[in-house]
Amino acid sequence: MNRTFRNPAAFLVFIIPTLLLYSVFYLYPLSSTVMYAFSEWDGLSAPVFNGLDNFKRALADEQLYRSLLNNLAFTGFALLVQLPIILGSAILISEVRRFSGFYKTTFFMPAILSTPVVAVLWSFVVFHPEIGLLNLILRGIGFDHWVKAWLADDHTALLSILVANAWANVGFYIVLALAAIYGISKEIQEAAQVDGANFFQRAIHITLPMIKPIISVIVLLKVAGSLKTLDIVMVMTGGGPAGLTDVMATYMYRVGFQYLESGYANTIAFIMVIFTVILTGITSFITKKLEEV
Amino acid sequence: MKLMTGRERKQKDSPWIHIVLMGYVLISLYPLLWAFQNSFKRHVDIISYPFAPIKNFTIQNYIDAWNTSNVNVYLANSFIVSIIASAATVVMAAMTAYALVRIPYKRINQAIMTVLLLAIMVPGATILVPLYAFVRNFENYFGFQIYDTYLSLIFPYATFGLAISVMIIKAFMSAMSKELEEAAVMDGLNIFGLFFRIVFPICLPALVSVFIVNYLNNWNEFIMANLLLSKESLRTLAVGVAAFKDMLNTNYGGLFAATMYSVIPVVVVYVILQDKIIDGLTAGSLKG
Repeated sequence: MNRTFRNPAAFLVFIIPTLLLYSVFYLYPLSSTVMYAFSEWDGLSAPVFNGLDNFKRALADEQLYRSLLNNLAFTGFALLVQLPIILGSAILISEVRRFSGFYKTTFFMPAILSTPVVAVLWSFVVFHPEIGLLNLILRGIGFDHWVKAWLADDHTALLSILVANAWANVGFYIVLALAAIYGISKEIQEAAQVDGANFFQRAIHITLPMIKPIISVIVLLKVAGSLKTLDIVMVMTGGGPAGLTDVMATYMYRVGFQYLESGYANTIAFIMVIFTVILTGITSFITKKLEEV
Repeated sequence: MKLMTGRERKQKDSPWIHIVLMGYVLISLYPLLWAFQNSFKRHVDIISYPFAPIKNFTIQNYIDAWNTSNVNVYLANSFIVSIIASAATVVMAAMTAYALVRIPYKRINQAIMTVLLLAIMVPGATILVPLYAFVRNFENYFGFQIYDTYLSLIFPYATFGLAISVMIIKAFMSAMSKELEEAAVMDGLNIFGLFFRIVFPICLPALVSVFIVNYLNNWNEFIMANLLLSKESLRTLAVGVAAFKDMLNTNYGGLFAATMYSVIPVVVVYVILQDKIIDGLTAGSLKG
């Protein structure tokens, strides 16, 4: 028995395809990111090591600060707007006896659409200046002076992306939270009901405290996800108008593939990783503390 | 008994919960339904009556998108790339997971898991710049060109799906009873026969759901598909839709029809396999 399993040749055959592909297409590029972050490089000729020059440049780069702030806007929107919607919807679905499957399926549906599809739906169906619902409704109720090109306007472009992004994401997390709520034993809920606790009392004093672990997971995923935001911004505005909606990843993309400063682009990527590690570290520390309460 | 009466008392849902939830159903579905409906309208009708039900029903938008916008080519490309990459991911991930679960080299196994976890922690966007340079210069390393072939997407897609797939399959295999495998070994099967004739069929349900999840991710992937292919004849549908958004931005009906070619296959599969898809996608995120 054990001779069959203690078989180094078999082990290698099973593992090597994975490790090979993974080393070539993930670990190697990743190590290059770290290396080229300290180099001047145009992506074609040989990179030249330049120490901390790229990082000094990053410290003085206003566009990078603006991008980081926009990433943090994604974080803030996720925690202050998405999270209440996620938990509220999950609790509501868990309360109903009929149609709960239907709600779960429909709420989850935006999660299976590709980002370009989400971008088409929101850029044209909702935010389009002429045929978009938002402007049509505003015109319909006589608020003509509010009508604008939502994605091209300095003040509304980022908010519009945040809303579209939330629409595409929320359903996935509702299902996660819902699974956790279904895991709470029915007896506790029913006992509370018999004692006369109403819907809101049960939600605040029983359901939410009992799903703290999954709330922590959602918060962590949201924080990490908001820092790596890339495709929704790229397809909806490309960072525009005038770089106002740039996030770190879109800025990195432009620096690397349009300005052809691959070295500095890798520095930005490196900084992204550092921020992700720091911010998720802080978040997991805070959520652990809160879970203990 | 008292608990039972509590349950009975709560037989009927209060209507306001359904009203709130239906409101969100409307928000979830309306943009999609609106685009679907308008994809069957003539351009002039979309501009004059975007809300109104279809007046002059036409499938001309779909015919035009198919014939002039190369949707048929993009559809085939997405299909080829997604299916090959997902199948490769599943087979490799299953072999790796099995080795990690059953072949007892504790230290090495631990090290492999740690390295794989890295891919879940570090955002994929960070390696885009070097990945692009690497794919362009692939010939210098390995002697053949992959840039502007299907392989320039298949390799990275297969790779990026690995980490999570190994985690999910490994969790499934850890719960598998060892007795059947022991009996098979007694009957003289070697480790390869064991894997392909016993373990693979047993794990098929888990493998199918991992395949679906990878397929969906590959089908929807945009950033790498946009970056690693420049030939229009190899473009995937996700990149196509993004391009239509800029090209067809005055031909609304055409844009919606082209988008629907991307949406409809996914939604149909979703409606049929919703439980598998939801479980697979959410399981992956929790393991990470």
